[in-house]
Amino acid sequence: MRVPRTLQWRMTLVYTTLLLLTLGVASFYLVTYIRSTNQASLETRLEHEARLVAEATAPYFAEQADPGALHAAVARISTTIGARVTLIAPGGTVLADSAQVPDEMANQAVQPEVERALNAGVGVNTRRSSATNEEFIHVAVPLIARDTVLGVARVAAPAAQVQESIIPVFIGIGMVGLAGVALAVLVGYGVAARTSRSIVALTEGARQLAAGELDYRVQAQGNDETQELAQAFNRMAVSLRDLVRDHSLEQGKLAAVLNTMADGVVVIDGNGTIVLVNHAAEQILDIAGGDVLDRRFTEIIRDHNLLQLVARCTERQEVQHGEVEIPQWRRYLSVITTPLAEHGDASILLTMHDLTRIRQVETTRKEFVSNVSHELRGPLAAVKTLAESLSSGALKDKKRAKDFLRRINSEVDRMAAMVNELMELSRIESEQSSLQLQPLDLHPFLTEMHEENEPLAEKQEITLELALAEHLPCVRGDENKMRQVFGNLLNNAFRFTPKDGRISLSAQRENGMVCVRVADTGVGIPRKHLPHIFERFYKVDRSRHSEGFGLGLAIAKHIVQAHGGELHAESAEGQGATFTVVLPAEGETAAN
Amino acid sequence: MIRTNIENRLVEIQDDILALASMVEKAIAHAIDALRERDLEASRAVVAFDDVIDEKRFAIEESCVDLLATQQPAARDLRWVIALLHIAVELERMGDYAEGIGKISLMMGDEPPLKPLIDIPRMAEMSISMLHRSIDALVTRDVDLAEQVCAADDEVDALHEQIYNELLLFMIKDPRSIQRATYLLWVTHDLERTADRATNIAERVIYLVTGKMQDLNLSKEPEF
Repeated sequence: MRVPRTLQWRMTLVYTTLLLLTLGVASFYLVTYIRSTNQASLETRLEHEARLVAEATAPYFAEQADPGALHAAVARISTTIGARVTLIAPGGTVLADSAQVPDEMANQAVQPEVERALNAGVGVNTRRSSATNEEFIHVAVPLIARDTVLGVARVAAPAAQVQESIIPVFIGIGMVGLAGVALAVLVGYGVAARTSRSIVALTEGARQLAAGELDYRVQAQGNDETQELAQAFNRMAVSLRDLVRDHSLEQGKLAAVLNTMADGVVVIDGNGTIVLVNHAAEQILDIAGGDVLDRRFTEIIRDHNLLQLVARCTERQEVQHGEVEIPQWRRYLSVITTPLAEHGDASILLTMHDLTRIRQVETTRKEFVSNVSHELRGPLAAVKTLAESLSSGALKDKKRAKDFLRRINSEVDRMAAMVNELMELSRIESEQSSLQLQPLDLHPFLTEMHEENEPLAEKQEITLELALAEHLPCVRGDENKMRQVFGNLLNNAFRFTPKDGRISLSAQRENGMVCVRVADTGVGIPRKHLPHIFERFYKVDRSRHSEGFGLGLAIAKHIVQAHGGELHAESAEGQGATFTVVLPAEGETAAN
Repeated sequence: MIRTNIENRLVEIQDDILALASMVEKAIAHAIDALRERDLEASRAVVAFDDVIDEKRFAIEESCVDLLATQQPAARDLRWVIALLHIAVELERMGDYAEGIGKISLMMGDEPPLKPLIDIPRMAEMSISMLHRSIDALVTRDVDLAEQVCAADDEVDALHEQIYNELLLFMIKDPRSIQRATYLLWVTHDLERTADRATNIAERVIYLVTGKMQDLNLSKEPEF
């Protein structure tokens, strides 16, 4: 059986063993001593009795008395002293015995005690009686009368007397031992329980701490070393909690920085496994939502240019820089791979900067320049041709010359208008154009816009409606600029709405903002053009060259944005278009 | 996960396959972009890039043969290496189609395309997506995804047929357009074959996972 190795058990065992060992040694000496003392006193007693027997039976020898009297005397004495009495002739013949018939007994001369009694005056011997198979102590003394040895008187008592006298001692020792063991178990158990309770408490504390319960404290008990240990443990728990808190604070900051930065960050360990990926990287690499941690970079990214950068960085252990195009999402990335040597396992840090927007801006700029040149080339070519015609003779034909000059003038006007619009746009874009902001009551303003456009509507046979909500709030705005915005929107509406169509100008308050809508029932804007209509020079129908430069909506949008508002367009092909100008309300409701 | 030596080598080869697939995807996308935007410089770059693809394919093939000769892979590993070997060949052929489209673009020169390129880029997008998903299936050992790729081939085939009929109509109406229509016909054919080869890769993935060889390209047209 395995002994349970608890402290309680072991301490109890040690106590008990020590106690039993001491008790054992003590009782061994005690018993030996008591036994030898008892034996000696029994022997002395028996010797005295033997001498008394010798004294008492001597007369019977002298008178040559009959054996019957001798026997009787022996029996009497035996009863009196409570021991076996034997009288033996010097030759060894038994003369009388209190227990047996003398004739049946063997010659006793060979018995050591008889022999010694005759030779030394007293003989002692312990042996097993052949008759009763009981151990007896025999003590013999010579029977002397008038210097003549008449025989030997022998007294025998059971040796068991000595043993029996020791039994109470044994019982006593046993009782004390039992009581001692019980006490040892009790005390051992108690002391051990006290100590082990502290240890169990500390163990529980350590377990709680390991499980992350950093606020757990151990209750100190008693005032021994275990209490010191408990206090030390609690101090450790406090510093551990502080350490962990600092650490997680740092980690939180780091995570916040990583997740809010616009650049993508990925860390790959030596086995090519992704160990860290920030929010931006998930967006850039289009791996958001998927569980990519602990997966292999090669299997997730699957772009050979990126992989090549990583491989080269691992190989050379130096920073690599490259631009990568990911065709699936039309993204351009500037990527820097850095070996993280301090990690010791060839980790690689990938920083990705999304160049897509920059590329787009570049493309837009290129397109802008080419658009401007394209728009200017037409009128310039016309002016050039007309001027050449004039110089090569048309000047003489007054009528034609006049017409040519008128056309040159109109082409130059067109170019001037375009340059003006471009400058206006650039001013608004760079926010240098100062807005004359003042409270603008939309009610009279829009009514006026409506009235101004009535004649045009009549001419084109289009119904122009006005629907203004009552109690329209004022907006802060530059009246001239606003006139430009709505002029543009209405102009567009007239341009794309056929005969018998309807254009409505409406305004109402929505969520603390004022929404002014210009809706028409015209040709509408195809879905694919809708996201681009506010771009400069964007025309839905490129073939309609003469109709404006495609700058009106861009300018309108910028003006509205400069007012802190928004301009949206909703449309479907053939279903008309609705432009909504959302402007922040001025707070107080206009007094109508 | 503890990998054996053979498995480590196989993962390395598979990584190379992923890189090769990415090269091929880009080659096809760039070839079509260059064709649409009439960017001859870009078309020349696509044609030149095919050499890089070929080189990569040979490197992969060599690694596979080396592995077969020295490690004697068995059972699943054997299927793996054979599948990778086949996929490398399929990818290299797809690279050739990209090169072919680049060459057609160069042949067209300054000539404007017969019609605005709308369906052809769509077809290219579908083929590239099939290729991408078939490689996804290889990475994740996803039989379902591989079967989806095989099913998607029908859409590409349908689009191919539609463009084919359209171009035929152009040629019938105006025999002078035959030259230019033929260019576009070649391009659609190259894209159709690309999609077929993506299906082949998906079939290899199914073979790799299940050990079963099957032809899932049910609606395969006779090759021409």
